[in-house]
Amino acid sequence: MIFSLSITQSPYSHQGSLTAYKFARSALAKGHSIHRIFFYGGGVLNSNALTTPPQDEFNLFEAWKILANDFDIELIVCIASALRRGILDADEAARYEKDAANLHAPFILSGLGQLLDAVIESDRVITFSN
Amino acid sequence: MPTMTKILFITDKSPYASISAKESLDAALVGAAFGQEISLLFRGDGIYQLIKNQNPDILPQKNIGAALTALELYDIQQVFVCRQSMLTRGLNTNDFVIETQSFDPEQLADLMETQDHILTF
Repeated sequence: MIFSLSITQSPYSHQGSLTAYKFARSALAKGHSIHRIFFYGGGVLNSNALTTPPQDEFNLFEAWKILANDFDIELIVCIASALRRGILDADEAARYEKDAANLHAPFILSGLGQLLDAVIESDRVITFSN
Repeated sequence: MPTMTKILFITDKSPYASISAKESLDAALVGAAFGQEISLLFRGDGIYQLIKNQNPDILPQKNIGAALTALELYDIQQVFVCRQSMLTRGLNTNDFVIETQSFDPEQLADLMETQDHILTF
């Protein structure tokens, strides 16, 4: 089965991001595929490259990158949600004349259309909203 | 021509405590712009998004009630409200900025059954 995931709450404030990660790992282990993971609302904070948890804690930011690279999964970050929350790639940082960029590959800034496209292209879209 | 995907958006968040209400509406409008068959369902505190005469200017935030009146322009006509959520908040469908259809909690499963996808916010 082809899954896509929608993550709408920030990591650390909510369990949903970690649960989504565990779900993705379990689905892949059972032979399913993950087409796309869409980060919306506070979920965009998963893509913040400046995330620096203590070394003895699970590093979800690094885990997303490894997952995406190992299984060729698209990590799409809603651009409107991201800009509001201070998540910018190099292009947006230049456009808005900001000092730094904190979103890099494999995370990709794109529009809400990518969520709806995932809905249409996937057998199931699971929302992790808490 | 590909068939339309039926997508139900469910929102249970109050209009201004977070940006969730705006984000769920934005997603629904994009779905309609993609030419899909979109329905909206308001339940719990999500009911408050619908009430007339919202005045969030003093917060300051954008008016969700006014934004909901755009649904018709996007050809989104299936708007459902949970009757129980409405009644427990002392509201009825005359209090809302747009036409809605009430449903009982036990009818929710039937509504979900008719959809290809459900997105919750």
